[in-house]
Amino acid sequence: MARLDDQHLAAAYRRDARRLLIWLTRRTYDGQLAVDLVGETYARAWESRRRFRGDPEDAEALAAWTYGIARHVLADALRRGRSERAALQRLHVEPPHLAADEIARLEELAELGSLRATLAVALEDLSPEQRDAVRLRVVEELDYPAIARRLGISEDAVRARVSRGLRTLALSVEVPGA
Amino acid sequence: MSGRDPDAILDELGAALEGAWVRDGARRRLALPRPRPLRAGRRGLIAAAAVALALVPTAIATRDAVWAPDPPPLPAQLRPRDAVVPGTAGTPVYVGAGTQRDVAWRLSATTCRYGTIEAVGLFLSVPGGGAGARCDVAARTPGASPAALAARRVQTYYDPASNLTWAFGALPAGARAVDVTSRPYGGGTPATARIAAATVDPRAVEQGHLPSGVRVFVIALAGGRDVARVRVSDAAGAQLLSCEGGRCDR
Repeated sequence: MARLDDQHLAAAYRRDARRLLIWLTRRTYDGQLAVDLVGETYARAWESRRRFRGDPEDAEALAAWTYGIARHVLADALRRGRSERAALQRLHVEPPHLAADEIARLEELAELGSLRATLAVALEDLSPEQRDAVRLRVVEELDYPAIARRLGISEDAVRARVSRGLRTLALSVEVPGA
Repeated sequence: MSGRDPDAILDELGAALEGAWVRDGARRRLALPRPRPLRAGRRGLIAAAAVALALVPTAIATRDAVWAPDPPPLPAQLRPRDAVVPGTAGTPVYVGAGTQRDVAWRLSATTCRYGTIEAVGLFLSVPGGGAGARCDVAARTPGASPAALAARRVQTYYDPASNLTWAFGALPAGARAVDVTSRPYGGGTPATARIAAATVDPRAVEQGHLPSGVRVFVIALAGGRDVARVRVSDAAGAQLLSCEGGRCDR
């Protein structure tokens, strides 16, 4: 059986990256972060390619394997409250930086508007601290410094609360892999 | 940049990733195993040769730092389909540095192995430019055989910034003097300049996996010149090598 190489991964990226970007955008509510995580996912896939045991010509198997990596990348990002770029940095790849209008288009593609409405209901499941942070970030779409000023806490603390809240909500709002 | 749609952003990211994968893959393929320690006898020979050859007048000073920057690998898609690809390539190392005609220069070398054939790729750097043939670049000529690449010991480079023509090359251990015959661009009277074949720091030889005792030469000629012939002689004055158009007879 052929080994997974750059051509296989490039083909997988062309097939799956759009779907993955939408999936990550709907889980992070942050277009820039989602782009970073797509890049980090495929950078880690490249680094782990020798551990892929399936047929690299099998598009479904490769997509499932890549999504497994994406779940780890997302979990790491939500746990740490910041973007994961370690593998990207090892490959010296700088992900594209998105302007405000580009983020808006991506969020439109991911239908974040309707998701935010659903989320507003699900917020009741969170602790008060996490609920305030997530509501300000995701529903009211404030940036982190503005939330920090509003809540009187540090920016890092805001990121941590938003990340933990999103991790909790991810379990209730969307089916993994959808 | 503003105005990209998500697909354009993904295309941009995908292109950056694919380029990185190609570079990373090429770097790993070209990586040599760690150098084996030299045998004591061989070390002694090199040390003795270095001491003896230090007495030979030379324009080349060895740099303190041996390692040269790694050149970016040639992306696979730019390599012609029938190009010769080295099986392994050594780490680039500095093999000389100096100043000629008020222009500073540095010379780095990389060992390129094509099966049993070994070639040395040289790259000359001068302020604002440089030229030469590292392993990837040397392999770009379609149809070139490893033997032909190995025979291309002499490189030339015209630097418009300084209006100098540089000739440089890698020579076998027995080389002592180099006669470079050149004529002005467009014709004119040929002139021959002589320069000593310089020794290379044994550390660079070892770390770069260069041929034992390899010597190098670098000469700066005033103006734009065609280098027609290079003759290399040994300590007794006997001809060791003759090179026409950069390719040598052995």
